[in-house]
Amino acid sequence: MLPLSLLRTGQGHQIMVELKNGETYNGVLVNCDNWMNINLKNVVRTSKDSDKFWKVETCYIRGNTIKYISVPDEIIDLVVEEEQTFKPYIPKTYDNSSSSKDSSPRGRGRGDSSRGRGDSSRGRGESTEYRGRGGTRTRGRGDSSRGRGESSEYRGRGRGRGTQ
Amino acid sequence: MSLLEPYIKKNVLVLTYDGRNLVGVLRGIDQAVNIILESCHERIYSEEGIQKFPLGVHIIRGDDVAVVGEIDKELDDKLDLPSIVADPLKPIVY
Amino acid sequence: MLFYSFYKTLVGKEITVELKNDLSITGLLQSVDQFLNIKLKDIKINEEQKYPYMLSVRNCFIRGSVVRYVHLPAEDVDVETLQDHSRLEAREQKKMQQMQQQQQQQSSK
Repeated sequence: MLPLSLLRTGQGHQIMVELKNGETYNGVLVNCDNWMNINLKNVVRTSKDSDKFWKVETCYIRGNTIKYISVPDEIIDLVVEEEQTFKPYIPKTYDNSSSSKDSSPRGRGRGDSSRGRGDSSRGRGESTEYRGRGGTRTRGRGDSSRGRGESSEYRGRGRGRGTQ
Repeated sequence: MSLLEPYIKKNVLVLTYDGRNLVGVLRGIDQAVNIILESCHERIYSEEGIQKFPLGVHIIRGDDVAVVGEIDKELDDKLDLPSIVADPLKPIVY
Repeated sequence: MLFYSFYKTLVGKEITVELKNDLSITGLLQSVDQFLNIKLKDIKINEEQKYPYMLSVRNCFIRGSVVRYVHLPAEDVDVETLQDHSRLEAREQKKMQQMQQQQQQQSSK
């Protein structure tokens, strides 16, 4: 289950948000987005040392200021599981002299889109464990010049040197 | 894919940036290491031993996560929490 | 990417990770990812009396950003290859930069 799916499911419910600065906001979750930015209504804002309180009608909280969010227990059973898909973001390669035959980004434009996809995901699996942007970057580079892919592989290159 | 995936549905301990100890069942993760903890409680360290503070369901932002440890139930059951005395964990300093 | 590859050569070895909250964790390196997040097996906290926070934890995940130092077993690190690869990486980065500049110049024409 993705944390953001849980949060989305919590829309319309009372939640508690603690910010990195220690303030807490208790209110009804109106809306949220993929960056964890949120809108609250009927809010009580509490200072860091819980000694001051403010009533706020509505507020917007930028996601990256949040430390954690507490949601009602029952929400977790309401979440509709989404398929966890991480579509690879293929960055533009700066090197156009791509030497690999089948996995260049251009291949995806041939109309046979399903095939192109299959290729790209396979490439991804081979290169490294895919996790976020880093993985795709590896792949993009690996494509762009053969030499690079090999050279960044610590072990492989090391062996070669050793036997010289 | 993610290093944390094998811990899902298991009882875990989360150490946060501000030095808190949270224990709960890991229900979800994403690429940013945002975490869902179910039936979560905080373990508060002080001179009077460890106190538990119930918290329910928590979404912890990845920025605030320092360590996630898989709790070994056998070892955990053996612990006598009220007798463990220690200072609270220090917050992460850069 | 160099350090990622480097860490991967240390999988299975015992390392000590010192965190930015002064906690030191010793364990077998189980895996590592692109963010240099680390998984350790069979961990032991140094000065366990003082830091009893992870007494019931055997395996753990450490966020790359909280790591201050990693103590490595000297005999498992091949310093020469590491140096070679640092040079290689630097060279590649330079090449990359030049290519970017060229492209920018082309697109501004």
